[in-house]
Amino acid sequence: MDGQLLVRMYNVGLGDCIYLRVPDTQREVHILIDCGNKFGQLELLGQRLEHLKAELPPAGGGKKRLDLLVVTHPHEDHHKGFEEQFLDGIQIDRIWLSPAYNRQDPNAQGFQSLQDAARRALQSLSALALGEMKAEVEELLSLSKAEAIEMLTATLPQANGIQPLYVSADTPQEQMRLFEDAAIRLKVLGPMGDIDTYYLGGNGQLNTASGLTSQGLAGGYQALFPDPESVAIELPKNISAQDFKQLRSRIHANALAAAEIAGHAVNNLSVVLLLEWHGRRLLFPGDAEWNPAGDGEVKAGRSNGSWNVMWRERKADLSQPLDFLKIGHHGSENATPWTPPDPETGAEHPINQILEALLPPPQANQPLAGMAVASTLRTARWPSIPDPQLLAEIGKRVANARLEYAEDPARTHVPAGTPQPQRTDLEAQLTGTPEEPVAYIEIKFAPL
Amino acid sequence: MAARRSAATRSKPESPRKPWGTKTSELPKYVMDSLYQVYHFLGKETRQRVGLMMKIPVFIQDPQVALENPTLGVQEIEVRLEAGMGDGPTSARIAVVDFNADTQKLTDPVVWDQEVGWFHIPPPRLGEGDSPPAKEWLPDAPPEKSKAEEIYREFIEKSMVNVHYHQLNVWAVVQRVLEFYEDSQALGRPVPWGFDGNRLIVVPHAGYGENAFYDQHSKSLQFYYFGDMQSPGYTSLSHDIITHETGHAILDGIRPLYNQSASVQTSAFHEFIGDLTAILLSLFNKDIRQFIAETTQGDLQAADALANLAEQFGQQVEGRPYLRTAFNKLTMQDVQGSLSPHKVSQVLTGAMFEILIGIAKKLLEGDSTGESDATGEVGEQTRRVTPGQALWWAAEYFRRVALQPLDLCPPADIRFLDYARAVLRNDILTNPVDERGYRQVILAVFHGRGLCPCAYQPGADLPDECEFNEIMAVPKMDFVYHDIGRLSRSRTAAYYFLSDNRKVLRIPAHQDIVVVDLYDNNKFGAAAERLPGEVVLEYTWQEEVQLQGERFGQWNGKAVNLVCGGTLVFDERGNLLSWFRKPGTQHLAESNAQALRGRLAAWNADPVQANKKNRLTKQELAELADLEQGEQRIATLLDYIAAATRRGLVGEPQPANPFMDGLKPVVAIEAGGVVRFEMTPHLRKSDLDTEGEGWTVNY
Repeated sequence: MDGQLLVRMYNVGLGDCIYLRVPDTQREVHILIDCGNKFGQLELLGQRLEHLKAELPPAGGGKKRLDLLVVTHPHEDHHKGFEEQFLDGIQIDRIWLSPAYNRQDPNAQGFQSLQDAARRALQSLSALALGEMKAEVEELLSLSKAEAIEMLTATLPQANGIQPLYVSADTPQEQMRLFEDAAIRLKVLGPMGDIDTYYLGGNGQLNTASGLTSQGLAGGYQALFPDPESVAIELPKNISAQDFKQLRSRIHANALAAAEIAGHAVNNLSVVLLLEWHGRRLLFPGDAEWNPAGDGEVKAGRSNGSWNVMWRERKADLSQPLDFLKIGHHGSENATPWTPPDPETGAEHPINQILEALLPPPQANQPLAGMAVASTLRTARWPSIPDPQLLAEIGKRVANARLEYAEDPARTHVPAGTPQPQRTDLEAQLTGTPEEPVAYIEIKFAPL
Repeated sequence: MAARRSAATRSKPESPRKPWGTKTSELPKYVMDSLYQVYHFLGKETRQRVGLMMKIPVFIQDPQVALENPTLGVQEIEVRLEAGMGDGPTSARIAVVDFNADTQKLTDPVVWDQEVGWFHIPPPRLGEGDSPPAKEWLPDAPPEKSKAEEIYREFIEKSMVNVHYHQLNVWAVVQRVLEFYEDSQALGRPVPWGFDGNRLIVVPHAGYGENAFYDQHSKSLQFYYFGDMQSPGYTSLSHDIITHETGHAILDGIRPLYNQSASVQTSAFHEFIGDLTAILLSLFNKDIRQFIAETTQGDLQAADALANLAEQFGQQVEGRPYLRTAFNKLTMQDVQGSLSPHKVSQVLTGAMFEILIGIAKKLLEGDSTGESDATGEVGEQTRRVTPGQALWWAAEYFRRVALQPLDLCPPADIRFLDYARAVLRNDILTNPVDERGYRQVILAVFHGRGLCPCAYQPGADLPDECEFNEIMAVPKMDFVYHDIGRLSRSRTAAYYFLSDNRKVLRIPAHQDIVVVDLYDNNKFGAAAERLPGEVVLEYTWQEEVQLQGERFGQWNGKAVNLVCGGTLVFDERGNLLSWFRKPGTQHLAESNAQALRGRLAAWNADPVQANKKNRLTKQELAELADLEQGEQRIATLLDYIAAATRRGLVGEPQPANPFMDGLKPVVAIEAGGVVRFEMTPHLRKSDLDTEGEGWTVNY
């Protein structure tokens, strides 16, 4: 024990796997936040967990001790790695899950209904889609696989003799007490407990740009996209079967809209953790999003973004500078509360005040104190992640900025020579073996 | 077509209303078959009299307006009665398929009864031993006099919830729009759809959503429903929405390359045609015209009913009474820098509506010839024209003014100025004398809206720098002429013509040419006279342009095609009537261009002293002018792509995911390192917000 707080962001490709070692009064507390990736191999996640396991303290019975497992939200790039084979030999004392995992949550029935509708819609579309469309739909279906959810909500807790705790900003602190030192706090800033009201417009209603709403729909979302297994669709007699199939594959605006809306909703149900330790503040926001509509204010009857809600409901916790920010959603433009000024007028969007508070812009003669890391990978599938403008802005505000990273100029990239925060996908360029990806980026914090 | 039995012998439908019947139900089948064969040569009244048209009751605005203002409620419109009508309804060019993607349910189609010549609701599925029930006919329009009575309200309320009526309503309006465009007062020819195949699929209840759109890939028009499910709003009952979306489909057939988003004006032109179609079809509705004439006494500035498009849609979705209105004073300057096709389109919609008002005003003011008599005194002969008459004549005239120019427009990259020039060129061709002075109205409006920035003054001659000078005269071309009859019958023959005339047409020698379309038309002129036929030849080639620089974001390093080409219009004798083109830059080698520019500079510096060798020939001047235009086109294209990229308006290049990308206004489709930018025309309210932030990626 060196008395320092360790943050280790494992390089898992496009995903998150974060280890925290937090010195407490008598011991160190070991926390794992997420383990998953998109497109990457499962084996890589296993390797990372194996590495972690080697560093965990013994729990007795030949097992290693993990004090807290947090799974921020049910997307594969955050939970795919939680396989029995990888967790075998680890004794988990607590599991905190996003309320998105809780099918019985009375405040999330609209959300669960929407998820189910989206899944049914995609399954229906999968039967019609061809080629790349089919791959796309299959990929959307794979995001929240039932097996992964079952593992985290039932299998893993049972194996460890515990119950999962579905945490929200409204969960009583005494249920989340983790540290002996009362001055060390791990707070949940989001999501709010009343999920349907805050993030789905209330009463299962959802007013979105696509217009998909359950308002007035009989049975809410249950009425939409019936189970394809239970529906026998007749062929119309005035067009060919081929034309009808093509038509059905193209009347899927609502099917994919439902999937998109559900995806946004899941992101906004990310567990957002604020760790306060001996004067240090570290924020892990999962894939929480912000909604640019209007001036970014929270509105009733609207699908509000998580950052928007937190700024209104937990503003005090967000109004002080951070020592560390885990850049949300792998650096995508909608998961860190900042956007470039209007190109014509220069006006700043009100949401920018959140990042102003968390990572203040550099001041003259003042050293930069905050740090940020992106666990990311630029892919052909989503070439704009991470967003170059966002990284460039964060790079101006953090003490661990890198100037030397170089990306392929033929693709979307942060321009060479632009300071940007540390990135798991590019950090290897600064080692002696750039072709060998780094296993992790880690940062230590001494108490203030 | 089945024999039409006489009224005495055909089965009487069990309906509270007498179903529609022809006045010539006594005519035998062979007579009707003959009449059907000469349909296109018969005038509208004759078609009606002999039973080649049928009357369908439709909402002329939408149910909400119908309930609030019975005058603008339901009216019978006339569409062609085809030999092969079928259930759906299904006609030669349109098939209604009532499939709901949200519930995965296919609703049975309305049934066409060939014997009676009308539609009935599909019968319930019969069990064993069940007797077939009586046919439940769709009702005729309520009598005109009932518009203020309960009987009228009952018709509307029942129609709103009768899904089979929706099928008929949407089919009839789409059919009407198609026939409107094919009419000799408009394009005067069959209008193809913009896809392989001939039948547009119309889906009246595609699902829940605040939307309606045309989708080329599935050959469909999809209409959704919205609002409170206890009494939803159906876009398939909104006349404006149906006509707007059908306008998109028709423009896609006339000019399929306009789907490529090379500039915001090209995308805005699609929206303009949608709105123009809605306005025109409303103008041609006698109830609406009468209402406007009575309430405005001919002052169309007060004609809110016409210009406030899609009232119901706007009320339910945004709380505003209209989505876009033709009553606007926007100029090109006002929308400069805007990337919103909907906003920019309002300039042209407003301009054309202003032209319509100008024409109606001139008619309403009467025929004032101002001719002097033998004493030299100017006398006036005025004729009283009622507002209703003025509006009808203006509408007739306006249809020709607004739609016939479409055949003259270039094959790609349409700009508002191109269309404005085409309007004027067509008016010169079809209304050469212009005794009423409408051309001055048109010129004044186009200049007032900023389509041409010259110092034109209404009533004066066009300044030398005016953009419209070019189209005022027949272009003189040193063609190698080909037989027009041979050329008009074969795309290959047309290609031979183009190839022989590459130099004069400024088509690069090394470029392969695509004959995009080749057709003839038979139109009517301003005096409703049959004009000599025209042969229209559209051709294109593509020049690759590199996207170099950070401003192109993820497309940096890719290439995009600049679509070049032109539309040539000949008369029946092969005389050139019109040539609208989109030049490129590859018709002149760099060295030649430099040499020409040098000579031109030398000549301009001192024409008197300059060496005669420096004087450019007409061909050389034309080549240089086209080169400059081509360079300007490239610059505009690149600026547009960069601006759209910066604003986050371009969808990720995921061609397999069209509707996810369709949530962004522009879609980038990449193949072989070349990116094509396409616009998805639709009514989504979010389109109005393209000025703001970009869109988010989510998974």
